[in-house]
Amino acid sequence: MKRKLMRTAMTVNFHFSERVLAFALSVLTAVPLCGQQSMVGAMPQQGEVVGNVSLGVGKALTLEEYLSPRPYSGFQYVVSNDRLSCHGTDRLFQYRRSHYSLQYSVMQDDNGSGSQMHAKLDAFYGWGHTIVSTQADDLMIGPAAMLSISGLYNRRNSNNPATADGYAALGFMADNTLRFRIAGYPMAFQATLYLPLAGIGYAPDYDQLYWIMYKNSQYGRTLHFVCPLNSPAFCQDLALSVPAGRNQVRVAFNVDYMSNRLGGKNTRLSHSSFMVGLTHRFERKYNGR
Amino acid sequence: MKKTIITFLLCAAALLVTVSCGKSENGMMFANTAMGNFEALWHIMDEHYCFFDFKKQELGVDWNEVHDRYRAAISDNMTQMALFEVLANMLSELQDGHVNLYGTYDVGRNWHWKTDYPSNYSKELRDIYLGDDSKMAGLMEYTVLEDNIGYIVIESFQSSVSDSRLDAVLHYLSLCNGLIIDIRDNGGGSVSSAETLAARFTNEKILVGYTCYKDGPGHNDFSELIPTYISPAKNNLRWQKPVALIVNRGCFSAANDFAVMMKEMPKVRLIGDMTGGGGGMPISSELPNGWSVRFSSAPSFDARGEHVEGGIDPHQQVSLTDSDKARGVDTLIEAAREWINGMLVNP
Repeated sequence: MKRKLMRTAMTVNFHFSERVLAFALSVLTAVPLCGQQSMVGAMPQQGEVVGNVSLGVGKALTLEEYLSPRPYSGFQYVVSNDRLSCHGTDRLFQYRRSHYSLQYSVMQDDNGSGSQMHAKLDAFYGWGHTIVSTQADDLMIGPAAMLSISGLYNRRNSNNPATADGYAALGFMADNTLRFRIAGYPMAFQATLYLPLAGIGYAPDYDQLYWIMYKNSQYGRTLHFVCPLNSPAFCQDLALSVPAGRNQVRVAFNVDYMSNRLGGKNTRLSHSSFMVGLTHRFERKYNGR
Repeated sequence: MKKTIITFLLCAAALLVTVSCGKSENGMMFANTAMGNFEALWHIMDEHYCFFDFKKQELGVDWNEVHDRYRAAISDNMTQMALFEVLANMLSELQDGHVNLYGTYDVGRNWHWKTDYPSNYSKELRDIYLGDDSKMAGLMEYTVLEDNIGYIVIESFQSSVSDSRLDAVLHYLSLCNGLIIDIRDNGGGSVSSAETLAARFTNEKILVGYTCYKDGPGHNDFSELIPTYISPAKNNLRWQKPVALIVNRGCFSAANDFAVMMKEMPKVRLIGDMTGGGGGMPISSELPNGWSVRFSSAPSFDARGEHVEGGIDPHQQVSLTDSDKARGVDTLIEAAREWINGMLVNP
């Protein structure tokens, strides 16, 4: 019954996302183009910020051995905020990109006998150096700092009902923007990748219960070094931007994937979501706000 | 062209990740068949259950031999009910009240740690002592006995114990000469509740035991022992007079832990039968068919480093006699009253 309800909920939500897409497309066709059309996909000038807020729905898959050796899958909701700003063309890293996202997932196992909830907060920062810049294309790469915390709750476990994951890492960011026109309509395709290289991850040691950790202050073996072979996360964003009035509509497909073995337990979290949002360009104030 | 290739590669990476994410979530290595579920359960227990050495020593349980014996009873055309019975029986070999298999229509359990022994407990007798005007505060039911001894019954630690309630109860009983705490047939609950209560019976920080956790899949892969202390309750009433704690085989899990803690406290005497045990903190896992399994994962020990999984002995062994029961007298409560009254004469 629960499974049927979940399936129904997913169907309803997918229908909802289709309606959102239809609404976005109708806005595109109805709103007259203005000055934004020439700005679609353009990199910000000095002191300028390109900000985007998106809402999304998608699919979540988790395997957290601390809670269960079985995979759980379900539906997820996402809200994200992206900002790309320019801080001086004479600098090595001219651009700064920030990405915040909050994800919430409700999942079931494939028998529908267990359920889990997952919440995840990501904060990624990237500093971009332009290595290719043409009229149609911008490619920038640079270092990135990534912070991710998440909590997973299994509704039927007893003393191990929940787990917390977190990592702070330094890594790599790549951002490629491709500007083009279809039937004279300006569009931009953007691909962004965040890849952590080294950092610190948090996980309890093997079967260590959070209750024991909390009660006896046994935190000694909860911080672990992470590297690409034990990668904490990976985030990829593919987006298509089109002008819509004074703003731009951004339709994106976002994928993030965490796979690690910390404290003797495997964790795999993957999310893929379809997102729709508005992009707006504005100038930073001179006082820095 | 070069830039287009880079963009294409980024897109391809995204698609690759998406596809690989879907394929990498295989979960455990066992199929959802009768044999797969059997092997999954055996391996989950083999890698995470914490009392194999203790059970081998106490009960002669050889987990590898158990595997071979029960594997012969598994066939892929057996019904789910038959599979459940075989798996529950396999777990039952461990004789651990914290080991349960949760199926869709039954819970596999072994309560022989309790049912194989005399209960030494009668609710009818208890109610005679409590009387009709007993008071209730959360999980505590209490009264004052005729010889001015406070009598508190705690049937469970499932709900939390609030300091305000404890203050109220101890204040009400403060003029009593001593206290009897009756935790017979208390099946446990929250260890924190037990600790909150125990903190009212000491004036100094006391080592009451140790715990550890598994840090690897081997039967002997354990962390170092972590000491457990009970610190005196600050800014709250603390009991300074004699305390008799009445226990029986039904004291399990958190109630067993409470008995372990109280045994280290000054002016406390455990009276009755051996406790039921359950000295392992349980955690849960799941089988491929969705059944859930609970098992002991983190063992606890008393202040001398001895296992408490099998229960602890009282200071004074007392059994409920049939003759007393027929007279409407609880032998254990009477023994507790006698000890407290004796302490007033010879502290």
